[in-house]
Amino acid sequence: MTQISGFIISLLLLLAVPFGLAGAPDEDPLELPGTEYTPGLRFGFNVSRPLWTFAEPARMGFEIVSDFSLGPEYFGVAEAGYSMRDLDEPSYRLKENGLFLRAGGDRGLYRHNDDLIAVGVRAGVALWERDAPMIFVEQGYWGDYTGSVDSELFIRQWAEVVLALKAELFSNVFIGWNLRGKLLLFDRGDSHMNERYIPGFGVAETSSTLGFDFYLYYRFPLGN
Amino acid sequence: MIKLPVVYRIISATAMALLLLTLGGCREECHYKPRSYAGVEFFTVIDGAVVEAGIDIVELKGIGREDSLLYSNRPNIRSLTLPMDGNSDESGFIFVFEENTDTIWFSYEVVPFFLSQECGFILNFDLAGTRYTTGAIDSVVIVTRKITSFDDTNIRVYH
Repeated sequence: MTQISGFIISLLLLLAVPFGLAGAPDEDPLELPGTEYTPGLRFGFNVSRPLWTFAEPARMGFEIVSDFSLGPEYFGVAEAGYSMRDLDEPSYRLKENGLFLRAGGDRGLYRHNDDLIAVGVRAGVALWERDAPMIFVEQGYWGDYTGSVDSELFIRQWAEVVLALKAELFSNVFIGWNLRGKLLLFDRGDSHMNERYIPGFGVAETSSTLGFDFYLYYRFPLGN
Repeated sequence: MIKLPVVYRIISATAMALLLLTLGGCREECHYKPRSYAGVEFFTVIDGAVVEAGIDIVELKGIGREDSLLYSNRPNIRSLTLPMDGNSDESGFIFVFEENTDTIWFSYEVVPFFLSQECGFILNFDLAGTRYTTGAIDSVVIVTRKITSFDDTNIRVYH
């Protein structure tokens, strides 16, 4: 897992360089202000979530995001969504579903017109329900076990650092991706789960994880 | 409106998304599904000092499964593991020693524990208490209440 994560980070960094340089071949890549900038309210949706569902039907969900420019390099961000996992296996059934909300801000590292590479922080919270209506375990000596775990509500909070890229595809239409490092706050563990599924946070065996999401946005310009 | 650099960006971002989707789509098999057994160690007291001391076990079997031995003819055994019954909140074990026979009952809460999507659930246990007879056994002490797959010592048996 560590090797895969390292590979992904290396790949993202490798690809992020031409992302930043390609739009401004004759300019100082570190230059922040001085190019055209259109303030606005941007809405988007997470494209990777339905793609995940296509690849893994047991997981589905949606996420909408918005950001509001507070200046050429500063953005307030709010993100919300619904997420569910329904694992129906021969030896168990596990259903989890709930809502999540994230809020925070981005600061531009590099901007060319309205294309942006930014870093940001988020605070996230999730409220979800978990239910295991059928559990089957081969016990060996004592024979097979069949049982269930009653439905229960959970709430967890986490913090994120985000590397974000947004590029204008057409007028006011953007594509972008976010790489997120996430850390559960006030984590008390879970006596019933090794591999935890937390809406908006993801699947994790520890209190930290990485996430990657791919977005499409539309910006409502609010004047210059 | 679309410039070459933007096309390049689309290709790059799409490639990354596809890569991650491919990684996510590789479902693994369950290579090892552990079981949670209670770890038991045997001690005795010599001149006021607690020392680890093996004991000869002729037979060890679960109550209700007398037809199936867990251990037989194990001389000077210092530690062993016991499986708890997930279909009950109490499991009893008959220890047949050289000269005595004792029975220990363990009461507990069954805790189904989700290991992973591939392996599903295992059963952990939260020990609540013990009852025992005192033929060769002097006392039984719970040292770790949570019985998990981490091979902890849960019970000390003094004889």
